[in-house]
Amino acid sequence: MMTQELLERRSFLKLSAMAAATSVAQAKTGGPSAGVKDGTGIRWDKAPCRFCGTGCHVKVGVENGKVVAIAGHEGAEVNKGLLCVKGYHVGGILYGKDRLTQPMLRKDGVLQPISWDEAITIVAEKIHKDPQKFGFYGSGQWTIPEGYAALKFIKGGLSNNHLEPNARLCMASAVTGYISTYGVDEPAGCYDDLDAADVVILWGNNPAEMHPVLFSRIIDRRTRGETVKIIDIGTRHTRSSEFADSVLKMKPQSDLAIANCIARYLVETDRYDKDFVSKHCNFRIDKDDETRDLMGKASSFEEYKEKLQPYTFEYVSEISGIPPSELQKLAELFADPKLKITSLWCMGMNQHTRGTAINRLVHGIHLLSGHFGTPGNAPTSLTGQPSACGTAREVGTLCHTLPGGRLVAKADDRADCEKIWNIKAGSVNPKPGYHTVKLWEKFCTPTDEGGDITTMLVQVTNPGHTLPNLKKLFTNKSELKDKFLIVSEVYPTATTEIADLVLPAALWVEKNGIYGNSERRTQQWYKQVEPPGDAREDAWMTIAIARKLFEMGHPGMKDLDGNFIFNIKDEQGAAVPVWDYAHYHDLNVDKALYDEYRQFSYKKHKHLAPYDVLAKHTGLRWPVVEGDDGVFRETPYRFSEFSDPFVEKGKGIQFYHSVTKDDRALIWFCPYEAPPEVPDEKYPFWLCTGRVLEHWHSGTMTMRVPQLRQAMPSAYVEIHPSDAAALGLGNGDLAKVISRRGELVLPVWLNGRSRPEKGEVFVPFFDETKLINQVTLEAHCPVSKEPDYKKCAVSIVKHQV
Amino acid sequence: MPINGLLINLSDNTSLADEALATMDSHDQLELGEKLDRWIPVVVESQDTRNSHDIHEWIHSLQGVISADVIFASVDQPNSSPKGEL
Repeated sequence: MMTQELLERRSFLKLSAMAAATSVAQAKTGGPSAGVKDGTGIRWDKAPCRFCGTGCHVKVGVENGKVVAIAGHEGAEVNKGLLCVKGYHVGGILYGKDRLTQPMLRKDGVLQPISWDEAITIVAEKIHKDPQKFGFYGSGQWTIPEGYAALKFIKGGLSNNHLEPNARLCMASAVTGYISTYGVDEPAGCYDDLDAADVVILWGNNPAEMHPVLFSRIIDRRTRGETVKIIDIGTRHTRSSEFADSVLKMKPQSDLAIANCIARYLVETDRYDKDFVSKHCNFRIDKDDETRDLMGKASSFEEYKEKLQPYTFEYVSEISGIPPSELQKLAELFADPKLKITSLWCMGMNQHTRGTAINRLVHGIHLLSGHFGTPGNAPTSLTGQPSACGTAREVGTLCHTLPGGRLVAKADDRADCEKIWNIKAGSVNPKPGYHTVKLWEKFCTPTDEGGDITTMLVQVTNPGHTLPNLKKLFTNKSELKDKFLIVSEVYPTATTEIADLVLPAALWVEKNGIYGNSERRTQQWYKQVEPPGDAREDAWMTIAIARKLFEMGHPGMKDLDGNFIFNIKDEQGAAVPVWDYAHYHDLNVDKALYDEYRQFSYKKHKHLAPYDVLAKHTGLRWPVVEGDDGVFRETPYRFSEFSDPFVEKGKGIQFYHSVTKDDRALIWFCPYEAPPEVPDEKYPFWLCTGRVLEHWHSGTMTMRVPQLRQAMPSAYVEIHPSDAAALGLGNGDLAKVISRRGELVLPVWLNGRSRPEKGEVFVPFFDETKLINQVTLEAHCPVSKEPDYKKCAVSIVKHQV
Repeated sequence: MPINGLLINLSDNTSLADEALATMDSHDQLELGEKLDRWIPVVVESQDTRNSHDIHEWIHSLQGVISADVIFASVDQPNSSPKGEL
C-alpha cells in the first residue's frame, strides 16, 4: 500500500508532467508558455542532454539530492520542449547500481580499492618516469573545461602532443572537409535550415534514429502542411527511409561517384551558379594520383571539368547501382536555383576511407550550384557526441591542434598558447602526436618493438568497445606487462576490464559543465546533485595529477613566474588550491578554465560568450559578438552578410578564413576510389555497423536505464531475407559473423528495423556482450585518419549451439 | 511506477481525431489535458516500464494520432534501478 508521502509525490509528478506537456502545446500553438509548476518540492534547473550532438536542452528536476524527473526545455531553440526516447530517460543514467565509487588498483589481477591520494601519486609517477611515452585519450563527451585542462596539461605542461579524443573516430573527416574547403572548421549553416529547406538530402545518414529531435523538426513541418522533400541516399533501408520521398540505395563507397556525377551534370549543362562561383570559389585537386593530403593544389575550371568527364549517369549507375534516371533527378534538384537544399550527414560520410574526399565533394556541389549561405541552403555535418564540436574541434584536443583552431605545426599558433599560458617559449612541441589508431597501436605494441606509448590515461570514453579491430588496437595490451592503462569511468566497461587503475568519475549534472553542439551552440550547466561515493570531476583529476608532477619537480608544470600552471584565483586575486579536493568547490573552476580558454576563440572568429552570459541561455551559437549596446548576440549563419558580423559590408558572402587568402572557398575534385577491403569468395558480405535509437554509442549509460535496455536488450545481425534463406537462417537463429580479424555470434533479425540490401549485413555496436569491433577494419582516411566502420568484408555462417 | 507527460499530435481528419480523443479518454491510465489546436497533453501513469512502453505503442497505433512525443518522464528511484548486467 502506498504511503501518503508517495501518493503526494506521484501527484506532484503528474502535475509536473501535465504542465510540461501543456507548455509545449502552448508554445506550438503560439500561446504563452505555462512553464512547469513549482511548489512541488522539486527544484528545476537546465542542462543540455548528455547524449548526442543535437544539443537538446532538458529541465532537470531534483528532490532530496536526487534527479527525479526530466522535462524537455520548451524555451530551448534546438528542441522546443521535445526530447527523444534517450533524452527523456537521461536522468536514469546516474543511478545504475554498479556506479564506480572509489579508485581501484589492479593487484594480482584483481581491482582493489585505494585512496585518491595513492591513485593520483601512481599516475603522476608513471608520467614523470617518461613524459613523452604518455598518451591521453578523451572524447567529445569531455566538457569544454575538462578538454581544455587536458590540453593545457599535456601540450603546454608536458610538451607532449599525444592527446586524442575518440571524436577522431566519428568526425575527423568532417573537420578536414571543412578546413580544406573553407579554411576553417565547422558548419556555416545551422538547424534553422531545417525549417526553411525545400529539400533535405540525407547522405548515408539516419537522423530518425540518431538525431530524432532534428528529424521531428522536419517531419513536423509536414504536419503543418508545408512541403519538404526528403532524399535518402544510403546502403540500407532505415527508419529515415520510411519518411523519404526518394530512397536511393547505393553500393558502399559509391557516394564519391554520385557527388561527382551531380557536379558533372551542373557543369556539362551549364547550369551551375556562375555568379556565385566566379565571386566566391576557386578550384582544387589532389597534388597527383597518389598523394592525398589536406590542401592539394590549385586547379583551373577547365581541368576540374575535364576530371569530371567520366562521371556520366551511366558510369555512376554502374558504380552505385542507382538507375541513371534517379541520378538525373537528384542532379536536377541542384540545378534548380529556386529550391532550397540542405544536406545532412554524419557517420556514413565520415567513417569512410575517403571521408575527407566525400565531405569536400558535398560542400563542392552546394558551392557549385549556389545552394549556400541563405536559410535552407547548407551542407551541414551532424555530430554524434554532445561536445565533439565544442571540445574536440574548438578546444582542439586532437594530436595536431591547439585551442581555437590553432595548429601545433604553426609557430605563431604555438607562440599564442605560450603567451596566454605564460610558459617558456618553445614549450609546445611542433610535431603532431599520434592520431587515435596509431596511438593505440603504439600502446598495444611491445616497447622493444617500437611501442613507445607506455602509459595511457582514458577519460569519458570506452575505447575497449569502440576502437576498430579490437584485438590489435586494445586487447593486445593485456599481454604487455610494462604498459599501464588508467581509466576514469562511471561504470565498469570493456575498457576498465583490462585497466590497471580505475578512477571513479562524476557524471553530467554531478558536476558543472559546458558543451558545444553540432550547430556551433555553446551550452552551460551547473552541478545539481552530488556524485556517488568518492567519484570526482575529470577536470579535478587532471589538475591534481599536474599538481603532483609540480611537486615532483617537473619543470613544465611551472609558468614563467614559478607558479603552478593551473594557478586559479578567487575574485580577490588569491590563489585557491583547487588540486586539493577539499577546496575544488571553493570557486567555480569551470568558469576559471573557460574564461582563460575564451581568449583563444578570437583568432579564427569563433568568439565565445562570457561564462555568465552563457549561464543565462540554453546555448548561444558562435561567433557571439558584443554589440554597442553591451548585448552579446549569436550568429546563426556564418560567412553571410545578413547574419555574420565579420563579413564586410557589401560582400554578401565572404569566406574570411579562405585557404587561398582571397575570401573564396574551394570546390574540390576527388576521384571515386574503391575501398581497401571488398567482399570476395571467402568473405562475400559487406558489413556495416552503427547505432540504434535506444542506445547511445557503447551503451555504458543507456544499458543502465531499464526502459532503454528492455526496449533494445541485445545486438543482432540484420541480413536480407533471400541471403538468410540461402544460408538456412531464420529470425532468431544464431549466425557467426567472421572477418579476417575476428568473429562474433549474433541473433539474426530479418525485416527488422533496418533492411540491408542483398550481400550486405548490419550490426549495431552498442552491446558490450557482443563486440562487433572485434570484426571491423582499422583502415582509415589518409587525410583525416578516421577509420571506416561502415564497410569491411565478412562471411556469415549458421551457428550451431 | 513511471509517470510520463506526452504531447499528442492529432490528425487533420476531425472524426479520426475525435475518435482517438474519446478512446484515450476512456483509458483509465491516461489523463487528458486541454486540447490546443491539434495538440493534446496527456499524462500516462503506468505500472512498470513494459506497461509504459505498451501504452505508448497503443497511442501510436490509434488512427487519429500522428505522433506522440514524450515531454516529461519521472526517473526511477535509485533503489529500483537495475544492477548493471554488463
